[in-house]
Amino acid sequence: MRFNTIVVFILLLFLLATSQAFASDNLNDILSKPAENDGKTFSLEGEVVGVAVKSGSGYFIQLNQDPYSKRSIAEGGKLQGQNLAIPVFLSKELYKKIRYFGDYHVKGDIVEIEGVFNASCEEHNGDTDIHANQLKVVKKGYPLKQVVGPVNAGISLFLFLVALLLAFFVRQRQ
Amino acid sequence: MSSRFAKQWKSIIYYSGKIIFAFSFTLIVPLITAAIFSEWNMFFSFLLAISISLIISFASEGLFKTEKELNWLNGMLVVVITWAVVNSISAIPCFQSGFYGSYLDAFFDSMSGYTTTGLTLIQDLDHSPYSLLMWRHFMQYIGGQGIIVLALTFLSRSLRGAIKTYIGEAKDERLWPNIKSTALSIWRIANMYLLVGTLIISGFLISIGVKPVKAILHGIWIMMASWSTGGFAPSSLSLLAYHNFLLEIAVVVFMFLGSMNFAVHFLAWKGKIQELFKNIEVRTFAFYFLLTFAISLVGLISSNTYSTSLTRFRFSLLQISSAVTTTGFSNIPTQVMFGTWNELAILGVSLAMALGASACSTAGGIKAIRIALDLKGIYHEVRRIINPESSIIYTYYHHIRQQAITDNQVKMAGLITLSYIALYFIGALVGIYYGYPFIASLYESISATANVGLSSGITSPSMPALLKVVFILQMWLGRLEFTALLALFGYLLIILRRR
Repeated sequence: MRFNTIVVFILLLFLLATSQAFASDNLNDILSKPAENDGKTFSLEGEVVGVAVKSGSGYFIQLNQDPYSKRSIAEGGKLQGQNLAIPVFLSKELYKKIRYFGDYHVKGDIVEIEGVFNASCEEHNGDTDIHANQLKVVKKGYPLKQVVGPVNAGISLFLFLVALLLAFFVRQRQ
Repeated sequence: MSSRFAKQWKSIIYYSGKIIFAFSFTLIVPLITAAIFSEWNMFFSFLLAISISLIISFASEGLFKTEKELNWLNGMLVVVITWAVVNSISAIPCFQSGFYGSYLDAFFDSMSGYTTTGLTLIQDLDHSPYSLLMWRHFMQYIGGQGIIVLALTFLSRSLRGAIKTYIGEAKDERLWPNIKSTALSIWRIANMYLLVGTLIISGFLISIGVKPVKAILHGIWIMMASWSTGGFAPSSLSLLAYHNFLLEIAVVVFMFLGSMNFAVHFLAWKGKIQELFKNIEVRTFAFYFLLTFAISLVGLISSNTYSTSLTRFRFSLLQISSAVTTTGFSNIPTQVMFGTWNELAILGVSLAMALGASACSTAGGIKAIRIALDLKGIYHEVRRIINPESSIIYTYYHHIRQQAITDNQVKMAGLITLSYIALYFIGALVGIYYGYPFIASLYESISATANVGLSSGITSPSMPALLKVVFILQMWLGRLEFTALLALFGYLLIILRRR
């Protein structure tokens, strides 16, 4: 019993020492030094948003790495700055792993990608992009539900009524 | 005196209310969009904006009704007041959406929309509601043709002195003797292009795998922003989101069409194609477009930024076209552009932004007709100097018709050119005061004043509030070409002196 416990403990220590938590590179740092980072391999975590477009044998997706990729305003996230995004080129196989593309109505899939950054990609007419060779869906996206604010709705309807009454009185006077 | 003053304000408020009434109908477009996509919070925000604009217009009609015709000064003041009120109301649904840090940020975006600038302070753009995106792009579409032009299509009969408000919004060409017919023709041409352009762009997007509903929405939004030389985009990557050279070519064509003088466009539309080759404004514009394109291309070649000629051509073409038509679309992230383009290439873009496109179009900047008149004026003066004093010198140019240059035209063109240049540097000084580099500050200041929308990265929600206010004023002054706002300042000065 004690021997087993020791073995499990040693195994856990071994796993802890060898495993690395996924360390995402910072997109802002990559983009702020485009010439220096051109051709280097990076790992990024972010939300898939917007539209996907076909390009040759693969697809381009938009990967956002900003506070809103963790929690968008539509989900009740706080205002923390503008969007930060990069196009990522994927093979068809990698593209098929993605299901949800984020927008106002949907929380997009959170993915980890590893790929080569191109300040000006020769394969894609000079576009700035990342060619991913690995993609893992960390967290699946989901449709978002909206709650209507009753105060906003009440004030709007009341003022609309006031506007109609005012229109009636003005026309009557004329 | 006070009775005359009161009568003047009565007519100013009454006619402003009339235009605000016409404006209230534009809010139905995003309202319907919100209903279609079940964005009910946004639906009530747009209903609130409609209600406020209706209350203002009915109250002004009930309290200030008048038959008095607008004089020139009052016409200018109506334009300024209408622009201020319309922008204030338009910012309400933006602010209520929760995607703006403050009401000032929302007002900044509505001013950027109506002036067809394209600088933005929206946050989390990629998750924003479809109805808000529709509203942002629709503001640019209205602003491109003109808020007053929109009102004139409905109200010219009840708006006495309509031509003064039309001119106050920096439009001075008449397509028809009747101002209502002119306004209707402007909208007819714009709507036709919107329909055709939306079909083309949506078709491109569907062909590269975008789902039909999103393809149609993006098609409408990109087309509204292209034709109106606005530059708002539904994605934070702007045109880079689509990775399609052909789509970029289509956008470039629509930007150029939108930046052409309505009167020249109208003549070409009616089959008088030779006007395009003879017109001094078109020729001057073509000359400096090619010049700035060449400067930027040489810059890219010398900095070895791109590996192939085609790539250099593509990026230079889109940035310069976007700058010279004062649109603001981009296919390269700002940091990458400022990190890889050399100063010569950036200078080409800055110069293109500063010069701008045609007068009486959807575009901004100093404008080709003024550059042409400035140059012709210099040529005229040189001729006057080298000829005997007794000789009478005429210098001719062709714009719609053959005409002789007058001292007054040259004086006005020179005055407005100088005003633009002064404003470019005033904005840059404020940027420098807040610690931004000179080149970036000047670039952003030109972009705001010339209603372009390309950014060096300064415009962001975290920039100082005073700088936001300065950019708002620059966008406004640039769009109205100083006249209407200077009339307001002059009017306020007179009132202060009398006291």
